[in-house]
Amino acid sequence: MHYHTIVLRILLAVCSAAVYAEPVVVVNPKNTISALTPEQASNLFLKKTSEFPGGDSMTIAVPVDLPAGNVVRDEFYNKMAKKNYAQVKAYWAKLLFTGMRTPPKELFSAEDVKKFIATTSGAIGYIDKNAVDSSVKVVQLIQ
Amino acid sequence: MIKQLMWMVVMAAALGIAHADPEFQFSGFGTLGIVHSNNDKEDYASTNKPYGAGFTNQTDFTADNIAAVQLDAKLNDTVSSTLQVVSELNQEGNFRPRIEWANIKLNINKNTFLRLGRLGSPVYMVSDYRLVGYASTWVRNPVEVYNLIAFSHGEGGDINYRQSLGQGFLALQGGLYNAKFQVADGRFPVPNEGNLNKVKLLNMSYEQGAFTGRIMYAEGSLDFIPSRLLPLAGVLEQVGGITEVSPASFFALGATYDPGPWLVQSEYTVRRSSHGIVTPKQSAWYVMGGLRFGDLTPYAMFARCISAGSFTNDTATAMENGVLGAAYVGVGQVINQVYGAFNQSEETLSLGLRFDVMKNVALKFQFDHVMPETYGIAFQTRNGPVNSNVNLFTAHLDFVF
Repeated sequence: MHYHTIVLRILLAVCSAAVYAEPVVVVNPKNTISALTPEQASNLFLKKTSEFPGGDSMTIAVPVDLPAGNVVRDEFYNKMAKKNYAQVKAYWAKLLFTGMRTPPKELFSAEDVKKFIATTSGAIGYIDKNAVDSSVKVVQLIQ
Repeated sequence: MIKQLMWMVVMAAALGIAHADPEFQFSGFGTLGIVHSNNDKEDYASTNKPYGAGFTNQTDFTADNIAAVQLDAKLNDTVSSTLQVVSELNQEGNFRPRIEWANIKLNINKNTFLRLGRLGSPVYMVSDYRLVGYASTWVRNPVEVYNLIAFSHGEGGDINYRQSLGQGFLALQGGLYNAKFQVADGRFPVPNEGNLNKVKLLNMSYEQGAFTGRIMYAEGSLDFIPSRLLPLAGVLEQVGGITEVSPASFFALGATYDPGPWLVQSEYTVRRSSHGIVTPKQSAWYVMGGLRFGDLTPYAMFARCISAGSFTNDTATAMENGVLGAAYVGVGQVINQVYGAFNQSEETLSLGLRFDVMKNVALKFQFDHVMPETYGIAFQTRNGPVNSNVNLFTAHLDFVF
């Protein structure tokens, strides 16, 4: 392989990670929910509600986060809640230090998110579009 | 009762350790602050501090510092507990750690939970996290509003209910507790102690998207005499200016709108008590607005406190309350002249910048132009009324972990 081809491939990989992070919302395949608005999605991840809108009211939503600093995470909250990392952190500081609600559990990678979702009926997470496989169900985002 | 509740929390934590699968979460927050005042005659003591920038030290490195740790233990889906220990400059002038929160939370169903123990007193919109600098845009909660109530927690319980309503969420909170408090007085080494007992509180909020609005009413029986009035207590008692215990109430209305690129926040509060001579009626409000440019949030704020404690201006209230109206007013005028501290009316215009400098750390700068009418509400006066405007420069480093 030519030297510049390698460089090009690395550049492509870096660019696709940095610029083309495309978060999609994923749930357990048995979950009946198929679409959410950005506000409904952010309500679940900010734990403003634990009920899936229009879904089975017995299923308690269990949101999970990717680690702090993850590009997909930052992109997800920018898109869903129009909040950057510091705004989301400040939001949770308000609730955590009052003993009201604790932030979603942080899982290390998209693989861990998929594993958790596959084994937890109410789980909801977000991963990069490229990481989606049959172990999870993609929830469409509607405006 | 208080000790029993504390023990309950300790027991619950101990049970948690013994339990097969408890979840623990350790977290904390803090602030390092520097405040400089252009006035070296009086201390800017912000919210109930014994001293601050000004008379004691024109540049102060201590009064704004806070360190706090919190342990949350989740025993199962029903029972959890919170313990928070805070160290900050207290009314006695030291940093001895105190237990701010120690309570057990019981989830009754997915909409309702009950808490017992030592709880924050949610009289203000940001009461619950008023010590967490990182959670707020500004450097300090507007003193004109946040200095009306001297205590931050009480012992008792509350019930919380949350329900989706329309496109948003409705939250109701009912609390019942007793609160002990201390009021710092720069001229006395020992702070004034007081009690607000049998506090009944009702708090309602509604949030939808970027909007949150809330309304709160609390009442209780107040037992408090400022130490500077003790020499006059006998006279005051005779004219009905002081009663052992008297009903007091607090009303607060607040709203925030935070769509992302900008934010606004405002609150209006009224404090009343039937022994107006000691604890005058006060109303206060603020409006804050900010713009977000990535990690930078410049903001501006205006806050105002209107004190009805100036007896010459408040004869009507005195006549209503006093058994001997004229004598009451007379005593009130003497107190005003000699002790003076009742007119706390004050306005502050603030300009600031929050810079989210790195993960979980915010650096903030704020300029305050403080305009006390006479004594103001933010000052520990030692040399009589402030009687002039004061400029403050503050830098804070806030962090959470």
